[in-house]
Amino acid sequence: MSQQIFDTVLIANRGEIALRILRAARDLGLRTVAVHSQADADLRHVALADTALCIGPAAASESYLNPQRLLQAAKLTGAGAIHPGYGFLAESANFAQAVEEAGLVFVGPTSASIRLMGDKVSAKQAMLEAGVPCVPGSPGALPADAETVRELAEACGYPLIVKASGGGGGRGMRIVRDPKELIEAVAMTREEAGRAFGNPEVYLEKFLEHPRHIEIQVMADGFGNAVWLGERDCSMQRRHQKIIEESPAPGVDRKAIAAIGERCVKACQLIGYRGAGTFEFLYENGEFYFIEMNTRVQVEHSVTELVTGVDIVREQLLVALGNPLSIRQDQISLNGHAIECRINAEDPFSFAPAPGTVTRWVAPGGPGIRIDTHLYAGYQVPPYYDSLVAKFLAHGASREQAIKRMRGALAEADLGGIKSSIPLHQRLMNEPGFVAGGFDIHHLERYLSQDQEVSK
Amino acid sequence: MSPQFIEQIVQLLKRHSLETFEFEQAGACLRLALGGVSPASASASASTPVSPNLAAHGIVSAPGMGILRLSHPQRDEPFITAGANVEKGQVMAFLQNGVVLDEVTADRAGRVTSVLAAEGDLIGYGQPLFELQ
Repeated sequence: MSQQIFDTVLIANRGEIALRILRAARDLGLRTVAVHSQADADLRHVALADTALCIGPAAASESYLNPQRLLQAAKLTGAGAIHPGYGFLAESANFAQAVEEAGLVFVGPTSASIRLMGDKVSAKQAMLEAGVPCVPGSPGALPADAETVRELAEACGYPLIVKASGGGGGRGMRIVRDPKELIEAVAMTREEAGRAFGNPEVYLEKFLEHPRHIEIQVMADGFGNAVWLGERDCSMQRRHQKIIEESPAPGVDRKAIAAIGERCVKACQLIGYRGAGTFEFLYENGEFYFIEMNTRVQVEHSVTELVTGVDIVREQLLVALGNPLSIRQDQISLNGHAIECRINAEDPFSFAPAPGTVTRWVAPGGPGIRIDTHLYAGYQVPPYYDSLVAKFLAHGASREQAIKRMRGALAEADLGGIKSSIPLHQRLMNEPGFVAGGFDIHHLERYLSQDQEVSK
Repeated sequence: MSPQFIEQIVQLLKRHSLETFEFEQAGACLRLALGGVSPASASASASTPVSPNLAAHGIVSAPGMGILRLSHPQRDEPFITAGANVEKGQVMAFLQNGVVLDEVTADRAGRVTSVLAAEGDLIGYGQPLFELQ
């Protein structure tokens, strides 16, 4: 390459993903710029980067979430591209647009794609056009006429959920199991929504009782090529936060997954998608329902890297450099089974954040083990950001072997000075529901509440 | 740090029309400020413990990012060299971002004991630039 689009990447993130991006960039011979807050001067990737620059105080709003300072840092350091990682500004269409307008490369999709997929209504529309199944429901706000509401409910199917358009966070919704309760439930939710949110609009959606969370990893370039890299089962969640992810999804028909994967590829081509992305689905009774698309690399991308052998972050950078995808669909297959445990600096059972100084850190190792972390002895976990400090990954020929390797890694890890979720994962790796596989997204919260009852 | 010593300093400050004085020794810090304050109350509040805040030690740090300019582009000699006295609010350097020059000003009066960064350096937010005494 004589005239590369850029030779320096600014990493607009922190922690393990910043280190992950630095390593991928280094492999490609790119120079790296680590920008950090005052609280993060001692991060591992800051020490390893070709150039490090403090851009602001600890508050994310004045550092990692500040587009102006990030662009200023890019200019000062001669960076030609900005990798946003995940979280912070990774899915901000406005930031991506500002990067584009500054004449720099945003390592990710175009701002137009982010905007399209960031809006629930337009995203659903785009998915339906590509033939990707969505959660059935009313097309918009319910009309006043009771007969029309009944017809819409029949078309959607019971049980269903009446949701306030202005609601959120579990407020302003009512589950309806019996058609006879429908009209009253709609009236009551309207009344409540009007009072609570100042907007009486409500809509219908099919209610899934025991869904699993299954997502499809995709990768696309700017030339109309797109591939899907298998799926991940991320059903082990607490308060919508993923705790454990694995690939492949246990007990799901491979043909059904392939059919969904192909439709995701079609959707990418339809919207002109570029870079890494994830289509998230709820899965129940053999059916997939699209929830949303994440237009960025995800925390759990490493699970897919282990089973497919594809370096997703490297591929992101190659695409950003203007290359076509280096992989074709027929070269992708899932090899064995991989599991990821997210290790947070928090109390393993109360989940209270537990920042502090790491006094000891000996990472596990051995065949099939990969540890993505920025930890080192002496590192201070600051209280200002997400508490993820490490990702333990285990890969094996079978799910059983991957679980065994993960148990070994968790037992081997020697992390002193801070509390972490390692003890929780040790229990989950032996919990019958997890070991059997195929549990729903409420499994962990059920398990934790039973556990509380027992310990009372 | 005897009362006689402090008394001597106050006399010296008055004689040379200086307003503030800061002295550090073996974990103790003496700071005197003349002006609207009577000498008696100034010396009463003088013996304060060493603050963990760097600014209290007389460090002028960067208010933002940029390329350090120790002299104005249209002048030859730098604003500040070690040993110079500065007044509060005085421009000590610029942080350059493209064509924009952002001022770095002294947050206190004092004598510059060292310049901690060099002309043309890439400066990050909060980076120490000058040490004042």
